[in-house]
Amino acid sequence: MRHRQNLIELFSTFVQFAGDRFGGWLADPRLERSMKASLQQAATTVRELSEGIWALHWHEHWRKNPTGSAANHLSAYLQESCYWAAYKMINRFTSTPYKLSDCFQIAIADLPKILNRFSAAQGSSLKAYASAAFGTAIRDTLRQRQEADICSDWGLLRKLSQKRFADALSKAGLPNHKVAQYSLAWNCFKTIYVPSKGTATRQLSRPERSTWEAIADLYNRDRLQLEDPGLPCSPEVMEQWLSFCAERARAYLYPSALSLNAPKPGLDEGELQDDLPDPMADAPLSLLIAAEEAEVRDSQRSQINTVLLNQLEQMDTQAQQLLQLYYGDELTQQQIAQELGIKQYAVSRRLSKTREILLLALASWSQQTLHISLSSDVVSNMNDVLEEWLYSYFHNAPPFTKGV
Amino acid sequence: MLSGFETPIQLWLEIPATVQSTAWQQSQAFSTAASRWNAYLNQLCVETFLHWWRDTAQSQSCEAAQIADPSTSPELWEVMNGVALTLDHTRLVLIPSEAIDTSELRTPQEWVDIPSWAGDYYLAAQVNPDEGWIRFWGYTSHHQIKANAHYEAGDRTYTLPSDALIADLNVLWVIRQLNAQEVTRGVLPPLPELTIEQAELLLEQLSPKISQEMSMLQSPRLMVSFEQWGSLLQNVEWRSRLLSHYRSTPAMAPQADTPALATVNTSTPVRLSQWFQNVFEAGWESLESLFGEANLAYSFRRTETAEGIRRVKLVSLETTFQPQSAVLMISLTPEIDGRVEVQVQLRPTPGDVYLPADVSLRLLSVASQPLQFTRSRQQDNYIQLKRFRCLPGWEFIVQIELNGTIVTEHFIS
Repeated sequence: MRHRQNLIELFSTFVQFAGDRFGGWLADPRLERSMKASLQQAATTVRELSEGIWALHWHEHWRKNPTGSAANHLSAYLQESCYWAAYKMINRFTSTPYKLSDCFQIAIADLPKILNRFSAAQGSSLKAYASAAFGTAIRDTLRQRQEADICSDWGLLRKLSQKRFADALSKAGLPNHKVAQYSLAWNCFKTIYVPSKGTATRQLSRPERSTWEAIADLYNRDRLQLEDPGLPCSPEVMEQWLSFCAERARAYLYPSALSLNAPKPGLDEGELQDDLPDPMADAPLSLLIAAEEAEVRDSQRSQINTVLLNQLEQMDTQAQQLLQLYYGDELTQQQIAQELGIKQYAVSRRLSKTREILLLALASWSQQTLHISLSSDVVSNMNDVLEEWLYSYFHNAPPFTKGV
Repeated sequence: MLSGFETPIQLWLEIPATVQSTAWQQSQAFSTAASRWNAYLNQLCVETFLHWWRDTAQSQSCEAAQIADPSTSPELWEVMNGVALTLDHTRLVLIPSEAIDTSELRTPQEWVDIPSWAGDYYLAAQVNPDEGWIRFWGYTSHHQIKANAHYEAGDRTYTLPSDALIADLNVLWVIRQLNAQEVTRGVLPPLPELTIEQAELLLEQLSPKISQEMSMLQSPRLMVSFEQWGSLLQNVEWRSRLLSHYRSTPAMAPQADTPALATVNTSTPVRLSQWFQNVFEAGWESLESLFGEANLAYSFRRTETAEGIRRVKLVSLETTFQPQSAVLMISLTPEIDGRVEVQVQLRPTPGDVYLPADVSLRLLSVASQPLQFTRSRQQDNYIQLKRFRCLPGWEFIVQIELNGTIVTEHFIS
């Protein structure tokens, strides 16, 4: 992969796949223009601003105006992180039916959530934060798909959250009153048809005729609660509906294509509002603020580095070895378990415990020196900082590398 | 196995094999297919969590887990999902789900809006019984739920999308260590107190016979207003009556080997006045027959009058967590004015020196008004209620509770 050369490219070009490999950078002219204009505005500031500062600037901008072009700039900026997260995940599994581009799509679709959760306050960088979050998004989706693949339709129906169920139907284009009817049928199904063994929930077989009758009975009684109760349903209709729901739920896990953040090269049309420049009156000022904050954070980061290094040195060799294997060598917990001859659950627990000790050290340090009043959210942000630090430390990269 | 998908961020626990088999067995006592399954998932979740907690607490030489909490009564799983635990003064509500997607945390309103039930933190648990593991994938606080969750009136739940939760439980443990003052609770108005008449009426309305005719899905929790339902549940006596309805409905009779999850509810009151005629109800034995002649340690401290009568009953407090028992001792002394002085004590079973910790002893009026309360600490040899005098014919209730198992004895003096 060719690294992007300058700030304009960084914030306005997108990964293009050729086959299942990186094919090149594709420019979005609209974003290119916007970035150029912003750089010109910023030229009034004395100093050159790093990509990290621009990222913070656009993130700030995105918070104020989520529908503007800031999200697209950030999407462009995070293409590389997303690509590498997908690349790592694919290489982790030797026999996976998924392609690099699948994983890339899964991850980038999560971008709005990632932008929403990211908080720069405790000093993590957007790039590092997003890398970890992309990885999580891919893992979660692949895990769900794997589980869904093992399940029979009837098993799968029991293993959906209400939200996922309703989302899948809405995505399939069903109107709300239909979604409500299907949801009720689904709840009736779950009430009546329960696994008869505690360890075999995936391969639920097709319900018997008598079960469908009971489900239909229940539905017909309860449908009167619905805003639009529709007609009474036969057992056959129940089965038909639920088969349809299972099919839609599966399809929902495998979206055919995502266009959410896809570039529109050459199509410099878009909707009218897309072309309106974002109100940028305060751009130079907000950039200056971002730059100042970045400076404060830099000094904070070196202190954090010291705190964590000290704590790490105090840990026993086994804990250090675990961290090295997990963060440095990027082994899975299963691989670590094999390597160390212990159970995977033990690896999971020990890793978790080790991280807790580091997090505790970091949090008490900030409580004492920064006089931060600790809340779950603040500590959660520190956790992101810790995760970022662990990755860079065990990759022998200078912790908190360039780019803020 | 999670086969490479795991992260060190989320607490991921193996369900011990024994837990899985006992949970399954015990769930069979519940009344409907859906409640059996619900009980199964909940039990897997809470026991696995406690196993882990005890392991961890031991290694940190922390205070052992405390689960003294009436609302953790497993019978609740007849009607709703979730279980509450009090650990180191922090109240956690675990909400298990078998969904493979962790899209949302869906918390029943009871855990949020009944003031005595509300938790500090709510933990989302994904249960995978096929592979035998549970993943705690996020948590939030009561405050966050009240401030940000979407309330769904249809099934009376508060839902939060997954990205509103904090994924790493380590954050929670760290916060508890560094800032135990974190604001965890949102503001709650108290629920109205029910009069006896109101409660009786509600219990009638909610009896499974009637609710079954209406619908099986129309869960009892949705049949009356939340204020009424919540007020009923927050009262220990009403709640245990409500839930025992479900257990005792003949159409849904539990299997013979019902574990001692259920409330033991004596339907016919013990007539204390008859004790003076040497007529005793089944189970009420003399001290000697239970403890043996020689054991004088069990006499009351006060000098016994000649007319005094003492009887003891072995009380089984078997919970889902461990079998426990104790001896309930009632001592009666007639007064000159025709009243009777009653002394209620709870003692360890023969051969034991200490009572189980955190067993509580309550005196209630027949209308369930709490009158007296005491609770055992670590290593108590006995606990007792203050002596009281009553006129013949007065009715009262003595309740013994351990880890949500409630034994109720009804007396008429």
